[in-house]
Amino acid sequence: MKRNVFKAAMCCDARMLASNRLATTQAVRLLSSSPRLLDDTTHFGSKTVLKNEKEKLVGGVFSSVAAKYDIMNDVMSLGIHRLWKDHFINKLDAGKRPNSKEPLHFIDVAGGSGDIAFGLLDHAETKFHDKESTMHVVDINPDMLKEGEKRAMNQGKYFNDPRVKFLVQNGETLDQIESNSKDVYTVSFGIRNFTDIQAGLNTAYRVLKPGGIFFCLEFSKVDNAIVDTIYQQWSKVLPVMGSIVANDYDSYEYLVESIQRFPEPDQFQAMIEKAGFESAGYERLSFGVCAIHWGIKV
Amino acid sequence: MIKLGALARRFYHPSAKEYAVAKNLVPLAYSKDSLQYKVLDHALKNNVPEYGFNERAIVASLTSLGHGSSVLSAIGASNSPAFFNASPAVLELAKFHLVQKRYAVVDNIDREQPLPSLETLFLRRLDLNKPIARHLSQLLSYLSIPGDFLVSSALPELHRLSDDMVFFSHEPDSHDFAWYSKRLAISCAYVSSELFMAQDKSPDYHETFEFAREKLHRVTQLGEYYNNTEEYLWYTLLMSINLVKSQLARG
Repeated sequence: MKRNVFKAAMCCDARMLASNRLATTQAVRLLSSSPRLLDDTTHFGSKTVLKNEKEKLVGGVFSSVAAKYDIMNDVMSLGIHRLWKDHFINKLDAGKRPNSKEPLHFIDVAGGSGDIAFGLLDHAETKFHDKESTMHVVDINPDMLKEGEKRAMNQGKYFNDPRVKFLVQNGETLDQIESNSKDVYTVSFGIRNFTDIQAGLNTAYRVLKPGGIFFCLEFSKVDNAIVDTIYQQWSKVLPVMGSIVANDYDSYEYLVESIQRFPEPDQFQAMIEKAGFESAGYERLSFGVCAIHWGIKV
Repeated sequence: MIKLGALARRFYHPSAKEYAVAKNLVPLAYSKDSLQYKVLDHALKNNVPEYGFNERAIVASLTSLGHGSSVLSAIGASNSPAFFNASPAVLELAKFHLVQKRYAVVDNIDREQPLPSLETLFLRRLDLNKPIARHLSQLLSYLSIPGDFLVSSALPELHRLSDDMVFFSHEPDSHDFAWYSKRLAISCAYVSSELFMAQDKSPDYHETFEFAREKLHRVTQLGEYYNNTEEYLWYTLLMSINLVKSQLARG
């Protein structure tokens, strides 16, 4: 499987991406039509697929959306995703305070595009003059990670910086990250793509130091009936817009379906607590289109 | 014998003695033995009197308790960042101060014994402000900036305080609209006393306590006016109805 992921990394060619996408679609159709619905299956959007296939399929989705990730996010959320991310960073309000001794060690999981990671570091620097804290930007998908590196290079900041490391890692295992080594674990719009969300949360608990915080930004369930009606209609349009802007219907169909599949905020909070976190809570944003979840490792 | 007694009690209604007391001070989201509680408690006792309500006080406590800056995010998690107000962690410190002091006022009250007067509780709450009195104006400014924190924490906490003071004192309570006006009047008296205290330079804040007594006296007097007016209006209403009735009965 690893070989497959690296293969995806090599193919920057649009034609290769297209063929990759075709393979993904075919694989999904094949599996969803198969009658096997055993314990080793999971969801890929609204389809049921084998657990060991999901990682590859999600890889296919993000490899194909990587290049147009930002513009598509703007189109899909009408630019509101920038406000959500901004709120997320301000709420977390992390950074080494001037009279504190230890710098912070951040890890941003599924943060390939780097916007949360760079945003957190910028916030720490402008607000607390913190130029010491370190950041691990981790993503399972090398294409997305490359987007982040490209962005760092273009902005001339955080590229080839000893404080910032880009790593290809599976968020469920994080096998290159030591236990009890991080202060802040963030994951934004990533955790719903994990094959096993609970395993991801358990790993978050493992890598955090005592006193560390888990902070997650993810799509959620709309709590207002009127807004929900509009939102459901909007969701139907999204794959069409995906096909217009990024020439990719299936990937955006997957995104919409994976949002609908994601657990309710209360249920997700219970999962965070099950992983061992305390004082878990959540805040709904924009009538619950999005939610910020948190938990503290004591 | 004791067991039999417990059984007998259970037959009537579920007894409060059979339930575990909640560990956290509502509305704080964390229990008394949580990390957040320890840090905020330490900060309020040791560092706020010196540094005031700001991040410096919390960070100083974090350092002396051996924690890093990441705990600040944990402390502030339940507050929303506000553009015009202090950081979420500082707002949590302010909220913690309000909640903890509110519980402290009624902590040792035995409901079996005769209850203290409203004035005693009112002055006891002001007395608890003494260590941080220098920083009261800073605290009051956080609490009064229009925004989410004012609506969701500062005002409800003020009204919980006046409600507690009425409930735990031997003050008679009403079951009509006066229930609201009484609490509103006490809240106003409390806020104005705190504002006075923020500017008070007199030894041991004795002028504040005088001011508070005077304010509270006026509230009581206002209550009397209110009751008298109500009684007069009620009397006039009934009398008018009777007058109309008598006129109609004459044909």
